[in-house]
Amino acid sequence: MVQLVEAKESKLSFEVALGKLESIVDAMESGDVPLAELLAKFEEGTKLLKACETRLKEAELKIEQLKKQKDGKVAFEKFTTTRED
Amino acid sequence: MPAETIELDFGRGEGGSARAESVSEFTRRVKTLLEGGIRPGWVRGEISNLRAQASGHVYFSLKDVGAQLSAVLFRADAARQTVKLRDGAQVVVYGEVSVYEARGQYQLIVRAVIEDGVGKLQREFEALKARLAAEGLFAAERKRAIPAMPACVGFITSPTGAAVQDFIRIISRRGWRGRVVVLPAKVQGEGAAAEMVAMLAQAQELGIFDLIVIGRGGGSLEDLWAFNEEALVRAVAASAVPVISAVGHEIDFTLCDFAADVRAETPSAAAELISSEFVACAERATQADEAMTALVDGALERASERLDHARSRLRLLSPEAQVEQGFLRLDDFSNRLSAALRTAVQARRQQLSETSAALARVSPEFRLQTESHRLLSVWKRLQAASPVSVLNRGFVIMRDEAGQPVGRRAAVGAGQGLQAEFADGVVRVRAE
Repeated sequence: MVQLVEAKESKLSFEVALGKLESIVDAMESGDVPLAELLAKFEEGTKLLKACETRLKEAELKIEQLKKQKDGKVAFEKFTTTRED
Repeated sequence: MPAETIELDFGRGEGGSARAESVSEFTRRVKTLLEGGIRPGWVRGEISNLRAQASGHVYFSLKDVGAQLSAVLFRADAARQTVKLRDGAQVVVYGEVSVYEARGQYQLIVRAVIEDGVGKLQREFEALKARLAAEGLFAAERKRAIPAMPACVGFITSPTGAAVQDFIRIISRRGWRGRVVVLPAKVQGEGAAAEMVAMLAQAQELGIFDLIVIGRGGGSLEDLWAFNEEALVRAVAASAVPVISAVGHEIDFTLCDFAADVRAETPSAAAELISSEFVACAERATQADEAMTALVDGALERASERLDHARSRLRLLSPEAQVEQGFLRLDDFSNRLSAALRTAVQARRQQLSETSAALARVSPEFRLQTESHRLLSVWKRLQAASPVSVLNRGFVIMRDEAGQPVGRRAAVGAGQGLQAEFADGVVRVRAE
């Protein structure tokens, strides 16, 4: 299984999303938030949560190994257990 | 043991000799036993009490924390050695045991001396550590937090080593999700540090990694040495991607450990660390989700209650409700009005009947009747007292000529004409 190098995703990082989500919950908890604002925050929070959950639940564990090709490029192959020692 | 049971038999020594041995004989046996029974070999220790004799022979002691051993390096052997002997030097010597009968001592006849690798490496380690530390390479403020949720983790290690197996086993078992790329590199021996430096550079160039783990399983100090080489230590410190160093066992410290952002005790510990962050983040996300949902549910419930309340108030204020209220009021007033009328009429009627009763009591008719009754009774009484009734009973009323009643005899003169009134008529008479 050879995969090309993927560009690193420029999406919001998980930590930032989770941090934002938590500050939204904090803001929602802080006293008298008007309902409309609360719902807007909920919507925003739900999007962030969805992003976090995608990372948490939908990501798969992929174990690969970097292999150097003859032309000097690199490829990623599925890592297989080849314990020798 | 009781004294009497001791058997004093000089004829049967431990060696099976038939008699007591001389010191020389005994010592020779010791010599034979030691020199024949202990093969030449390597001994590691620290040089102390070094004495070079004029003869060219060198005497010293080899010691470690628990024991010491006399050693001698004869002139011929001493001349061949490249290692300069000095007190405190850690060395490994090759030699054989020898018993010096004259003094009853055994010693090591040293044939070769090499510097002890551990001692040398340890010194290099300490020296490099001090130098790099002075440069600030290990400073706490340089350390970056490792990402809690790396999407892609690179592991610079031997693809055939135990470390990668342990790492993958733990990270899989604990439910971590994401991409792990094994970045194969030699982790010990010649060129290992250079390979790891190159791999670290390549990993940064690829730009896909959020976190790099560099490490290997346990081994001797020599095995782990590549992780103390300056080039690798500097590369780890300079890495653009946060680095976890995970080398050897808990007790092993390498300079990479100091240079990395985080030191994991073992490759397994690195896997635990990464997956614990994952689990903690999952927990945080769940808590945020629950809190947010509860907040919105609560707020919606309260809003809904307020809405219901407002709706019912509004309903009371609606035109229909107003009209209904009007009807109700109208009916109410109407009821009250008719009740009031009825009451008023009744009251007037009552008043009227009372008044007319009172009037009736004072009416002329009534009076007339009463008076009639009274008159009749008076009339009856009158009738009873009337002269006519006396006449009827046979009495006569005498009247003079004028018609005036004459009640007494004296009023009657001679010859006077009188009128005698009877009940049935008047007769003229004359007094005689």
